[in-house]
Amino acid sequence: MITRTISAARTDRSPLYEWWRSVDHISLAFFVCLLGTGLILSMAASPAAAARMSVDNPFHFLYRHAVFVLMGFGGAAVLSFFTTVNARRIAVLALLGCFVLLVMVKFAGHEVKGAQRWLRIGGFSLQPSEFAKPAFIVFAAWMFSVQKRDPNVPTVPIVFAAYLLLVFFLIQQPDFGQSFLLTLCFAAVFFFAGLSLGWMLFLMIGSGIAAFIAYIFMPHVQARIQRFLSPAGDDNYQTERALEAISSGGFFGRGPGEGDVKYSLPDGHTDFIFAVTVEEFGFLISVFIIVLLAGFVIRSFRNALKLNDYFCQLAVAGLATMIGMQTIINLFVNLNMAPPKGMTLPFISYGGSSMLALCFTAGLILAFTRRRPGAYGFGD
Amino acid sequence: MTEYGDIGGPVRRQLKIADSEFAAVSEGRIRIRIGAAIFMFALIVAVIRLAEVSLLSGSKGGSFYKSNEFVSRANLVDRNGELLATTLETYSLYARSKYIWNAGETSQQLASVFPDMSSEAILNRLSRKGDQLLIRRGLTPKEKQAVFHLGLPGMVFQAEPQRVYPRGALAAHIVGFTDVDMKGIAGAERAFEEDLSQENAPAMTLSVDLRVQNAVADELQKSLVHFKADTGAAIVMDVRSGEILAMASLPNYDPNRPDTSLPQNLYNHASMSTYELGSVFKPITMAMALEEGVTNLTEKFPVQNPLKVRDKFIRDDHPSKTPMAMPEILAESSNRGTAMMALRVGGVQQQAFLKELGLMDRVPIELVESAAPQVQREWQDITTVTVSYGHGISVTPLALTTAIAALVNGGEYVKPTLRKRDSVNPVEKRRVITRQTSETVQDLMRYVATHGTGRNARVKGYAVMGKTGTADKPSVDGYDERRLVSSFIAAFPYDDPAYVVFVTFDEPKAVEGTYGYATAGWNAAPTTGRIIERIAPMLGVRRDPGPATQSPFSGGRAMR
Repeated sequence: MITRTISAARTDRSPLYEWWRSVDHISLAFFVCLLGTGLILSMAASPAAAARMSVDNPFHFLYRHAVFVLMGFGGAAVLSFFTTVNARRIAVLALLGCFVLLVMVKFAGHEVKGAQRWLRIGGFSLQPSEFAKPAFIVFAAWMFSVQKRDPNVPTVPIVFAAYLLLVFFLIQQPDFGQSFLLTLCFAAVFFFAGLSLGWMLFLMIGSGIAAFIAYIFMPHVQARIQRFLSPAGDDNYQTERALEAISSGGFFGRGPGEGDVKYSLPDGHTDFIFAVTVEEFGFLISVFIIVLLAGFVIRSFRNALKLNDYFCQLAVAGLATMIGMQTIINLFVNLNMAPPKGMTLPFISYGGSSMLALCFTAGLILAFTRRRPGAYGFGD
Repeated sequence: MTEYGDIGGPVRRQLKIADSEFAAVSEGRIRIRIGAAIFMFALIVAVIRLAEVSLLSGSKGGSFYKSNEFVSRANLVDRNGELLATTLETYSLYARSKYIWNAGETSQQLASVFPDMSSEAILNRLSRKGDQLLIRRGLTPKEKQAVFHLGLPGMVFQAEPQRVYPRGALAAHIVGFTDVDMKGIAGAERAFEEDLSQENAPAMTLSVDLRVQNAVADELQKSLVHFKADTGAAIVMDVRSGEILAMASLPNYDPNRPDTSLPQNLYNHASMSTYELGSVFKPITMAMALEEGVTNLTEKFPVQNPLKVRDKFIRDDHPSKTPMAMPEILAESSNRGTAMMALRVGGVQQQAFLKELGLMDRVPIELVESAAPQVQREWQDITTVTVSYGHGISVTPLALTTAIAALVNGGEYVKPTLRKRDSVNPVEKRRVITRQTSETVQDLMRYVATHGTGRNARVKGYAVMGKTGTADKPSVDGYDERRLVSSFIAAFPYDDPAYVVFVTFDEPKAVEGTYGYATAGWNAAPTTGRIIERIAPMLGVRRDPGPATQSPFSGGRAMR
């Protein structure tokens, strides 16, 4: 009854106003700041990347980055207009779509650097696995919330089947890093959903065995880990350059455009944008970027804490975990604390699929955390 | 409309199943808090690591493109300010392949700037694969400007400081050279690395006098060729200050291109090679005998009789039929006479005396290339005998020069140096013999040059003192009489000794005009004489009209 009155009182308001009133402003602000920061940093990294790849227009990557940022932001904004249920439906549809695309990748994929992860669509390479992660998290959250309501539905086997199928496709590509991240996200959602100790052990042992098998049977995984473990080797080129960039940055950096290492860092605009940033803008600005990312993740966790709806809570926490995890892995790789994994810095790195998928994630978070009557404060 | 349904739906559902979901949601909250805490922890670890790498890892910055930072290194100059080593800014020329739109034209124009490169050679370089193609290294600023003026697209210059030695091989062993990172690895470049590599360090003034060095190197080179010696070394030292005015070692090398030289040519024989130098040790034994008071200038020693020590006969090269006193013993270089004096002094005193003269230790000069002597472990009476005439002990030419300088300069051991003496680098000296003994040694050495084996070192107008030394080289079984090390130690002027000159040749050969001899009197002595003839005027030594044959023991003594 109350709901009806409030809603009725607002019927004359425009949907845009309604959205603005209900969306989480702080999350939105973090999101926008991150996208903007990414664009600014792209100005530094793009000319170097263009020079390395012999692209004539020095701002080639900046323009593309800008296009993706606009597309992503638009998509996220539209997504955040949807209600919880519809946003969930979209995510589940996206998961189904990802399965279809992953099958297509398997047979009609486009190979880059020895991995078949991309689908060529026009002038753009789509990497379905990037979208599969948030979609799967939402799906898992939905399944677990359904289970709480109706224990008769065999939700755990369904979720596991979806997970194994995804991992199967990822390993086929092969994409060990994404499988690793997906597993971690799945474990996190499972944990948030009240996973029992037995299941937790099972997952840990299972992924341990899987990692071991991957190490034994997949030469590129083996090579990467061995390279990481023996920093004296010459092959650790990117990480070494990245460390050099970071150490030459110091407190205030060498100044915008003054970085040297970006010219010799093949992934300077994608996976190693953070190193390039530290070299040019210094420790302070880098910490600012980390604070922005942490702010978005922590804000989402906070919202998840306060949400009353079990599904929303799980989904938001899971999605936030994904972004947080990706942030940490990327930072660790840049700082040579983890082997190189092909993980972008969320919202900052150049990379079409990754950018769009993360905007998709942010859009879902915004949609799930919108203020609705009764959505917050339950039990607090 | 669905709008009501959508907003109202969850609320209704929540009310319905509030109890069951409440437990789940609140447990989820605890777990989410744990997740957030883990995330924050990992993030803080990352930030700490970031601070460690970016703030604490020091000045590793810019190591990838070293050349962006111009390395400075102070000049080396001789005692008169003549440039010995300097740092020039040179450039490497690269071509950015994608900006070169006409490789043929580019190569032709570049060839006009570099006459020693054909346009085909440049074209070859331009047609290689890659983004930055090296065309040429070591461009001078003028050449760089010339390339600029061509106005060609895609030319990139990289600054590369380069150490340049304008005197080339002259004084190469003194100056030394640096590695590609401009770190001194030989000679003064290495010895004074710390001073030279400091930022904005002033030029370092060495003790060497280039004019003297030039004369010494020139005469040594001529004699080395003439006497077909394997190697040669020469040193000129100021006996009062210990300053090395010249030091040459042959064969030598061009420090601008040390990599193109044979490794053995980099070796400084003057300070790194140890030799059994032979009779040039005799003045030392005599100074010791006089200082210990075991004999005097007039006592005659029975050098005509065989001398046997530990079943070994001591031989004389110029055997005498009559007993001889000290001046004759030195002038005729009698091993027996010298040995008798040493035996009177004894091994313990002898070792102490040699130690006083710095012959038992490495010469305390700034050069890293200063070798320790080889001294016998057990000092028997036979050791005392052989060492008295310079066998059974191997020292560097520099060590012998320093020791003789102490004998003739009034009796003080002066620490040798490669730096010009000033308030920062004052003279360090200690008395080793009395002034009187020193003057007697001067007389004795003068007598060698006027009446003894050193006559070929005489110079018109300058009173030279000296002593020859011809030593058989040790070989697998005993000494090899055909392979000699011949040396001459000289000091001048006689009335007020200021400089010592030492010349040594390794395996000189008997040539025309030496009557079949390859001994020091025939090669090292005349070389020393020619050196003194050239350097004495440069050093401001007063020319004396007729002293060439004046001798202390033939009436000359009175004139002092």
